Amino acid sequence: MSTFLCHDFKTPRTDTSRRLPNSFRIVPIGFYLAVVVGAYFVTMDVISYRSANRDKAKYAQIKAQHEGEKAKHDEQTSGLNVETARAKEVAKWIEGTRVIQPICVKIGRSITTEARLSELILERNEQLPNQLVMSMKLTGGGVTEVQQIQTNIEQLNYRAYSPQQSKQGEVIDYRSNLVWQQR
Amino acid sequence: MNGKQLACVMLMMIVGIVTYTGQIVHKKADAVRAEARAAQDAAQTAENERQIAEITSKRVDSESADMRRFLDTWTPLIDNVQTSQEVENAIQASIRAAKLYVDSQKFEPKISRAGKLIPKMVKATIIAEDDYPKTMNWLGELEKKLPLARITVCRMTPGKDTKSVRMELSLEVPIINLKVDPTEKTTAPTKKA
Repeated sequence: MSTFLCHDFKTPRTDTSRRLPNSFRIVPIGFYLAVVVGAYFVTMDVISYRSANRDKAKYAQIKAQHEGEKAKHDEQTSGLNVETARAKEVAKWIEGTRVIQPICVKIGRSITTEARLSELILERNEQLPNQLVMSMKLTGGGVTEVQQIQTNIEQLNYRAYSPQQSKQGEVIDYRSNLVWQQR
Repeated sequence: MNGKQLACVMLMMIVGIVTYTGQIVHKKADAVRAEARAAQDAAQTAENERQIAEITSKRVDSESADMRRFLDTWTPLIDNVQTSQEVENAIQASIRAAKLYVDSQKFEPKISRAGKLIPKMVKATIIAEDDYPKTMNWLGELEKKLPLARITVCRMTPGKDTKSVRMELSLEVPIINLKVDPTEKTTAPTKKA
C-alpha cells in the first residue's frame, strides 16, 4: 500500500466546496416558481395579445365599413345640395319670368270706349325681377278707369305699390310698381 | 466563486430573464389591448358619424324634395333651349305661326350675371305692329313657348290705324347649363411673382 494514498485518506479534502447557507435553498424554489408563474402570465398575455389583435382587426374593419357608408351618405347629401342649388338658381330666374300678357290684356279690357291708352310700358325691375314698373298715358279717361285697371290687375295677384298719378290736360300719367303676391 | 454559487447565480439570472420576458410580453399585450380599445373607440366614432351623415342625408332629401321636383319639371323646358339658334328659331317660328307683322327683330348674345348656372343669354328685341288681338295672342303664345324668357320691357303704343298696336318687346332668354355645380367655389387666380 502506498504511503501517499494513506495520507490522502487522513487529510480533509480540499477540492470540495463549502456548503451554501440555508437561505440559498430559496433560489431553486424561486426558480421553479418564476418558471411556473412566468409561463402562466406569458401564456395569458399571448392569448390576450392574439385576442386584442383580432379585436383590433375587427374594429378596423367595422370602422372602414362605417366610413365607407358615411362617404356614401356624404356624397348623396352633396349631390342633393348641388341639385337644390341648381333648382334655387332656376327658381330665382323663373321668379322674374311671370307672364305679362295677361296684364296687358286686363289693362286693355279696363279701358272704356271714351278713353284711349296712348302708351303702356311694362318694365321689369333689374334688381328685383319679380317686380314690374307700369307706366301708362291715358287720354280722355278719369279716376274710374285707373281704379278699374288697379282692380283688374289685383285679380292677377299683382299689387300696385306707390302709384303716382298726374293729369296734364286730358292726359293722365299713371305709374306704379306691380308686385306679385302669392295668395 | 464555487460551482454551487455559480449555479445559484445562473438560476437567479434565469429567474430575471423569465421575469423580464414576462414583462415585455405583458407590455406588448397591454399595448395591443390599448390599440384594440382605441380601434373600438374609433369604430364607435365612425358609427356615430355615419348615423349623423345618414340623418343629414335623409333630412336634406326630404327638405329639398319640392325644389328637386320643381327642377325636374323645368328640366325638359331648359333642355329645349340650349343654343342661341334654338332661341331665334323658337321666336321666329312663333312670329310665323301668328303671321305677325314685324318691323324689326334683333338677337344678340349676352353674358349673364344671373349666376353660374346661366353663363349666357340671348337678348331679343322685337318691334311688331299688327292687330291688337293678334299681337296679344302672339305675346301669350311666345310666353307659353318660351316660359324661361324674361320680358324686360314691353312698350305698347297705338299703331298706324285704329285697330293696330305697336309693340316694342325686349326679352332675355337664358341658356341654362344644368351640368354646372353652383356650389363649387371658384378659386381666385394666383398672381405670379
